Amino acid sequence: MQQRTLIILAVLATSLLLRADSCTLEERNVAVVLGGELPMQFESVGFTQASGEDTGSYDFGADLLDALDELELDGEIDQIAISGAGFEILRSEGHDAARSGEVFFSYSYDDGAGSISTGTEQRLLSWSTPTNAAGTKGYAIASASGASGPYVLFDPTGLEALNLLLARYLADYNAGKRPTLSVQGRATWNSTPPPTPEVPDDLSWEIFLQVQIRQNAQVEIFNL
Amino acid sequence: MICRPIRMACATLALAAAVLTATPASAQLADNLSSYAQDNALLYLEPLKNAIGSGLSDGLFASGGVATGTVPRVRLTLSAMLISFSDEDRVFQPVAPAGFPGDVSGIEAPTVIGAETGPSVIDSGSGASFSFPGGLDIDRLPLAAPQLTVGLRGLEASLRYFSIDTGDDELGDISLFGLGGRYDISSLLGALPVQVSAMVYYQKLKFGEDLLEADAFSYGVQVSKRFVLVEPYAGFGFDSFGLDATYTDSGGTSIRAEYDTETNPHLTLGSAIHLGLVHLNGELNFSEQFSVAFGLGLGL
Repeated sequence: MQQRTLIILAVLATSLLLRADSCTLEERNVAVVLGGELPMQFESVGFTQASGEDTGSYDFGADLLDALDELELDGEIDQIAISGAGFEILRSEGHDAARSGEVFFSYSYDDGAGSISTGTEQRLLSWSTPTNAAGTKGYAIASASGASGPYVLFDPTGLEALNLLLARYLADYNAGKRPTLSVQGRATWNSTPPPTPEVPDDLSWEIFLQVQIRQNAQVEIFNL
Repeated sequence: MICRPIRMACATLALAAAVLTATPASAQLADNLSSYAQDNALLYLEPLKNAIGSGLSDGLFASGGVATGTVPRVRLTLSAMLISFSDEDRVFQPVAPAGFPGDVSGIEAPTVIGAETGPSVIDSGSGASFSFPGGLDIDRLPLAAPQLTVGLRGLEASLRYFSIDTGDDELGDISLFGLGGRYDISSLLGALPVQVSAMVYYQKLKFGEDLLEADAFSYGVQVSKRFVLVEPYAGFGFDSFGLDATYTDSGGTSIRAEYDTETNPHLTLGSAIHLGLVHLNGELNFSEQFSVAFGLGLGL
């Protein structure tokens, strides 16, 4: 009797172990957030004045499209937005100085269906660093009051305009279009002390905009 | 430049899936980690780290006895472990994300096993918003491992091994290698009504080439008493567990995140049933995480 009971128990236990009858798959709508960066690079080479500027063109649309194409989960992408920013001195072989300035942007947007629009230049942010030594890195802060280290400070009007542009991009993408977004950037700066003909500027740096792509993704998981 | 995501969290689920032959949560879910720098990524994944650390040390033995005869005792066992999470494991207090100008103090973000949706914080000054990723909303994590044991003359060697090709280029292979031994110390303690043995066991769990590497070292003593077919057993020891993760953050920088090695006590209470060549066991494990384990063994 005892042996029979044990055998029954053993069969039941084995069944549970092998068949995992209580194991079910359940669906979850998980908030997936993909982080990335949209870089804008600038440089100053051979410059000898206290104030200067540089411009560049940046294919934000290509960067966004690469990221969106990577999201393979089912579920609509519901937001692309700027979450932060920073800057980094990529290379510096010339004059070293404290630098501060601003970054402006304008854009050219094609919705993928033949409608092209452009945006006038807006101030996006200001920045400041006590040195342009290579590797110097700073991040966005809430207020420049009392700040001495390297930092970036958003202009809320410019950031709102950029976020609206990203929202427009997403709406067209979700509508099945392939929009393109080219951003023209312009950086200005002041150098203290200024560079000289003997020791001119020779540096490159970038502003990187941190972007988050949010999706409600449907995934299946175990529920044991 | 928006970087390719890392696939760490779901790799663990894929390990469980490989054993229980069901579809895991998609590896793409680990996109979430690309939003986090090292500090928050470690906090986000910590419940999984604790679960793996506890689970790997389960099911290593089902008896205090070691074969003392001259004929080798060979047994192949499949152990399945189920690690429970507590409510505290579901959230963490995030570190302020670098680059986000807003204040995240007081925010509770879901861990990888927490709520499906995370909070969004908007910086009132700039309008920048930071969204915290959601979790998988699971209460327990399954793990499993096949184990081959050979014992004779008071010594026992044990091997755990499997290697799985996930079919995902980025995730790569998942593999587990474990090697350990036990020694019958009953004979050293004189006439005892129970069998007693001492054990050391080392295991390495790998996801991909460099994605995730976990090292577990377990040591302790076991005791059991055989009553014909039934053999209650208990064990007490310590688990030393470390984990390294290498991933690419949102800026494209490769980051090697390393959890400090932790050593935790581990108490096991269980019972085995021996039916000829079939051996079944079930046990409760009290360690960093509470877990249960079941084993099905074939052999002598």
